[in-house]
Amino acid sequence: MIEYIYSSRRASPRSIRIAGLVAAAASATGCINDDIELYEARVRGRVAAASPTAITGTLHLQFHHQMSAGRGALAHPLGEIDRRQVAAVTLPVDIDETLLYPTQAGQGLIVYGWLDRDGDGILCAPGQVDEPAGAGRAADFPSHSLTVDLALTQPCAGAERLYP
Amino acid sequence: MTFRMPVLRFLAAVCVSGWLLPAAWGLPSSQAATGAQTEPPAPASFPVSAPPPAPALGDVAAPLPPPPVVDEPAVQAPGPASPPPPLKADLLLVRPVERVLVDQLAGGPTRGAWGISLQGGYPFFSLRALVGVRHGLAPLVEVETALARRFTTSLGLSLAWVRRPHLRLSGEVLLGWLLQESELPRRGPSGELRLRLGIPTRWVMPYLVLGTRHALLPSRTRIERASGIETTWSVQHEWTPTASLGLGIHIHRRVGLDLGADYGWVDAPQSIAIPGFHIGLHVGGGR
Repeated sequence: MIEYIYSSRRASPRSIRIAGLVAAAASATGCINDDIELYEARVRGRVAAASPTAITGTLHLQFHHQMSAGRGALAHPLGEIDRRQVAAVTLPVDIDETLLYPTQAGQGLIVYGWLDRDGDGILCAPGQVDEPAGAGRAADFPSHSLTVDLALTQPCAGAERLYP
Repeated sequence: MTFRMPVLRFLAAVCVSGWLLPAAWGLPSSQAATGAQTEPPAPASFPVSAPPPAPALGDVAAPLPPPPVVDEPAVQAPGPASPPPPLKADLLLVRPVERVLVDQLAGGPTRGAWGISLQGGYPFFSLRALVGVRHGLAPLVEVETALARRFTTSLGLSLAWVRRPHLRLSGEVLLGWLLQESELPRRGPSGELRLRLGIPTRWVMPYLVLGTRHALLPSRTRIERASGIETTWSVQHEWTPTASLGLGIHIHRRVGLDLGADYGWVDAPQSIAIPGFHIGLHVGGGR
């Protein structure tokens, strides 16, 4: 009788399988609401304009995924990660920005920049002067230290027009 | 005094509610009888274990009456020499509202009474079960989903604060886990406080449920630097006030239906929510 009771209390293979399934489900659902993974990258380079004369203004920089991780066919080029402003610069100018790159949201790195010559914060508003823009791909990404040179040669061009 | 046999318990409840309650509330027995819709007519005699009627309680010197044959206790209750208030133990036997619909929607089942509720509609579906362990106290388990994308599983306790024939007020505390799988995943422990108010009548029971649900959503951020990986944790708070207003319909002592309008404001006040509705089925036993 004692042996029977002892044996009945031992875990059966079926109960072990059920416990395994429960554990797998629990680990799949997890207790973490959001798991964010970031990759720190320092982006350095030189931004120059096509104009032979020096032009000044506020430099707007945007960092994009080369390809955003949409679901299935919804994956698309570009996807903004971060943006910065460097006030009162005269091109050409050297940049040095540190970026936290979300690794789960896409791949590749595109840097886009334009020069706000009239200070209105808008790229080429009607009736205003043309403002140069350009984009470049960080070829050696992923790396913690990147070099990207931008040539602002396209007036009034958005990032979507410059890439791909 | 404890009644083991369900029949004796039922007969005792009928007898005591037919006579002791009017005396306790100071009402004529005919007036009180109009309010007890669910009680069957009083039997002709008390059970052996039931307390004797007024003369035995009022006259200490009188010999104990022979085993009880009392034809009309309500006739003897009024009069100048009214009996003293009944004992509390006797009052606890009175169960004027013993329907599963009331317990499920307004809380407070008696000991041994259990019930299961299945409510479905837009956007919430829920399965709720509770069983009474003491007078008005009941543990409960609840599973709720919103459009099969947001799930909440909770364990809790329900306690009835007011338990009268035409008023039932109870509070609930629940602890559980929130799991939302969609474009906006949500995972984390949740807790809820709930207030349930029901007004039982003969056939229907209007009810109101107010709740405040809080979820803690832990998030992990890992930053891979040239010097190594840095991990930080943060917790978001999500508040979901809820409200339901509806009407329960008695089908049977152990079966009931309800219709209601719901409002669950997920992640208030940062979001907006539209009202919903539900229809529910309630079954139970142990009554």
